[in-house]
Amino acid sequence: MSTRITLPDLDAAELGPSGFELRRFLAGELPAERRAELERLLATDAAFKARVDALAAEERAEQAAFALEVPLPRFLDEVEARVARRSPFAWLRSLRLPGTLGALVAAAAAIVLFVRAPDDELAGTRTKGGARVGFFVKDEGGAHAGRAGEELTAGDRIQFAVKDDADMGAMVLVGVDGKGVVTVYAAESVQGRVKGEEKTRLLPASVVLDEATGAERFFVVYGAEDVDTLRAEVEAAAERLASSGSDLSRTERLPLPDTHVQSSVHIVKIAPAPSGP
Amino acid sequence: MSTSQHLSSTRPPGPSQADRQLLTELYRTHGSRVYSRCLYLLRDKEEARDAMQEVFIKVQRNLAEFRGEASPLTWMTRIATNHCLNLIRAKRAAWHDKYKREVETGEHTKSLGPTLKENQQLLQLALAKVEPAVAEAAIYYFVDEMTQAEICQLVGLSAPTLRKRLREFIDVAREEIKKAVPGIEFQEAPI
Repeated sequence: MSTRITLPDLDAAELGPSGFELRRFLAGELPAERRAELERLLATDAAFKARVDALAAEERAEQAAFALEVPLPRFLDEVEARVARRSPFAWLRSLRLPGTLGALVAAAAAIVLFVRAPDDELAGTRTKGGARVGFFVKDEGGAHAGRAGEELTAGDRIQFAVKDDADMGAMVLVGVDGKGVVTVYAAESVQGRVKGEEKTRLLPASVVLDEATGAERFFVVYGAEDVDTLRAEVEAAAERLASSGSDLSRTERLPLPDTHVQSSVHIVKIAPAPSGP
Repeated sequence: MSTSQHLSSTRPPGPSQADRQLLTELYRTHGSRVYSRCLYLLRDKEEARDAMQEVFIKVQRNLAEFRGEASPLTWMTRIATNHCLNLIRAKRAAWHDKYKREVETGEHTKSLGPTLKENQQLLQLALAKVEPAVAEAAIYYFVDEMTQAEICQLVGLSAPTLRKRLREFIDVAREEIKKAVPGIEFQEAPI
């Protein structure tokens, strides 16, 4: 037994292919060119072939154990039961209404839900593909879709929603507040989106508003660059805007080239009403 | 052929039958990986099965995004990892105790591997001690054996930020392993 553990050198060059890339290779997910490279390596490098064979054997064993522990029929039944328990119409089913009446009531409920669904109604400024940024405000009833220029107070919790642009490679969401403070809320790769199938998605983190009052604007910017480059560019543009003293309730764009796609939305933070005696 | 293409071309009409067909295909192509990730993090077959079902329901609800993914394996691995880390985050101390009990009663401290990657059960001691974002990076690096470049691309981090998170994780892991295995020594990787 070893009594000494060697720590990884995070600054050392990493030689590929990684264990994860090999799993993608086995799953048939690699692009044709990379796949061909690894297949050539398999044919010429015995050590590499042994590594791939070992991983394939490990995956086969894992799959066999999985099939025993989670049999497919049981899995399907359990997922269906789980979904049914959460369906917004589960209460209707429990009423056991006669066929036609039940169907009519369910259809009416579906229409109400559809009309109220805020899915694609982002409040941000429009781009060629529609508005690309919006937010939801947590309230007593759960949450509501935020409006452009909505007045909010310190302690209010909001969560951003964006609609990606499939032609772009990365997204940065940045905020500029009335005090000139720039905050990056998200910076991520959006590669692999399918044109025409972009959907509004909620970003995972929510934000609690601080006590600074005045207008605050949130800009989402999509660019063809990698995440780091785009982030640096957007941050610099946001800093320029912040230091210019522009009216954030009216300034809808960051000073960036037109090759970027950008959409923005603003809120107005007001002081909380004084509490009563 | 990618899984996403396969799914879109074989999905039959009719919502109920289609859902069942889709779930069956996801189960066959990615089920064992998702289950394995959930089991690794949750250490309990029932909880892992529950978590796996939640992951598949999320995939069903975000089908368009799933089909647009160049790597469904990466996408599902990430959803499973984050789902389990969220469960752990809700009760960090309890999870840490659970991992600790398992290490104390298991054989992990009797047959240590020479590197951190080869001591994955011990690494779990740190998972419940760090922020989920740090734990996520560590799992991709130590468990999934992704390169730092792959992790940066997946999570949308810069290389320095990723290294900062990994260093934070290693520091916590060191302390936790020292407590679990008295007398253990650590050495930096040889240059």
